[in-house]
Amino acid sequence: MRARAIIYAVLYLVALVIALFPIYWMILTSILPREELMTYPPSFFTLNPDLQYWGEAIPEVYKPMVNTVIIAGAVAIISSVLAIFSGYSFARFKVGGDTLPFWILSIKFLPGVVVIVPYYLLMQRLGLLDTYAAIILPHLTIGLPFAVWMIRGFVSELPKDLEDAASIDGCGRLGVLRHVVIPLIAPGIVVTALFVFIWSWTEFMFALVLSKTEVMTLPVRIAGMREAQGVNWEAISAAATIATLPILIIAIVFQRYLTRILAYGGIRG
Amino acid sequence: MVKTSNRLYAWALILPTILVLIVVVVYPLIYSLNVAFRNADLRIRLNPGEEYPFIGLDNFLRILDDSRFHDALLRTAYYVGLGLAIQLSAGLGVALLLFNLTKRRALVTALILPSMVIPVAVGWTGRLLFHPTAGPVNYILSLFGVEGIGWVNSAQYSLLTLILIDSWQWTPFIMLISYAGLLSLPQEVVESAKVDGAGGFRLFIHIILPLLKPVLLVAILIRVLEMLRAFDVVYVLTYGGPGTSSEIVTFYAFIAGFRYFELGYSAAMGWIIVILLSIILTLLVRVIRA
Repeated sequence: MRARAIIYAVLYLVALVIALFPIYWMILTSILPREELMTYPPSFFTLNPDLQYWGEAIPEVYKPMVNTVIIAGAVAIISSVLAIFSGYSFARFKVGGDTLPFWILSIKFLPGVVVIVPYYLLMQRLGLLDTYAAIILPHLTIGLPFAVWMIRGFVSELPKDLEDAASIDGCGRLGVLRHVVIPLIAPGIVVTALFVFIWSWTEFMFALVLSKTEVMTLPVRIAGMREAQGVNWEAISAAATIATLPILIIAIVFQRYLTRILAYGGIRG
Repeated sequence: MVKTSNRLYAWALILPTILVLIVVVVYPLIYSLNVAFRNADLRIRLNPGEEYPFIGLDNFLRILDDSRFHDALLRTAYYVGLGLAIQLSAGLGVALLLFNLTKRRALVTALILPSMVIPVAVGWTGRLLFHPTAGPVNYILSLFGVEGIGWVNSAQYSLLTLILIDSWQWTPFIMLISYAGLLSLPQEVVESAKVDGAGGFRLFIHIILPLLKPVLLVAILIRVLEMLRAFDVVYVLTYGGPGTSSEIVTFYAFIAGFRYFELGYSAAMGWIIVILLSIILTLLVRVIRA
């Protein structure tokens, strides 16, 4: 029994190290002094952390980060607001049976390559390349189906009696939605909006093709740091850490929703 | 009367969502099909109002002869197959391990973090980790006597590097889904099997695995779909190279359009990918229903 406990403990440790080491390595690289970078054997820790490269990375990613917040914020708000109505309707009135909701979910898994070409040509023709709209619109193809399914799930977990009671008390139908359903699923709406935001924050392909300079997003900026005067590994790692930390924190805070979010494909660039 | 007005109300609530989806999904899809039948080459200068020349099925016929596309398809099959095998066995293994533990909340959270790292960051960090001379992976391997694997820089290992990194990021997904599945198993069934003397391994094969099957199949489905879309990590980590050694099919479709400027050809490849995907999906869904 004793030996078994030790074997288990070792296995947990191995799993933890494999899961966390790359994240540790990214953060470590961002604070390594230059003479400890790319050495052999590699430095697995440092006693002289150097924050200079964070100072170089922050001005580089500042504007892309503002762009990304605007784009992801718009995508999150539009998706969640539309999904409150349609998700509620799907859950309560079973409109379109199972087919329509599944059709909507399947859009989430459509390969981006099949729509990236028409998006590029359309935006070019409309003169919208390198504008916020050019990125917000294709991001809705993922954000909206995900939000509909999340809200649909939250509503179907509510007992229907509350709504019935409210309508007997003279609440109109929109009143039921506004005064009963929305307050009850408010935490769910926040989680939905947050994870649509995160998805849009990490998306790369559409942002790469449809932005140039003005509305360049954070992932595009980070991917493009290869061209700047050789590879500045510390600054890249600092930028990567800046882009990742908010998601890690949100994921830890909202961990009890993660199974559902991952099952609807809520996180993936 | 009440029934009809209810249905009208229900549809009215859905209408805005449907309209937005028609604009952002259905219309671009139709447009994409249109472009797939044209010689939409960005190097052609068009007069205002002019369309790219219609060339019928030429783009699709070209795909049949394009060995670069066929190689990319084979690579994708390898990428998905090996990746799934690693992620399923490791994910299920860790989920079973966790299930044996009483205080596991913090551990589950820590183990899920890889899935939360932004893909472009995964790409860059992967290049650091698998750096042939200064990377920690090769250093640790050298302690065990394995030397000089080129990883991202070698045509032989670049695709494997991508698979390992995808597995690092998405094994936690399989783990979390299986773990949730394990928690919802009927406890009596597992206990009574134990009473009947089923040992750990037999218990797993004959009782737990069949009960988990529906959950696992859905997880596999999601993973296959996501792996076929893989793009961002490939872009940063290998850019399909060296040569075309890690060029999977989505990446080639992208390159054809936005590096070689043949948008029509790219759109046609996109449609072939969608058709292949639908076939795989239908087969998988049939297995799930059975």
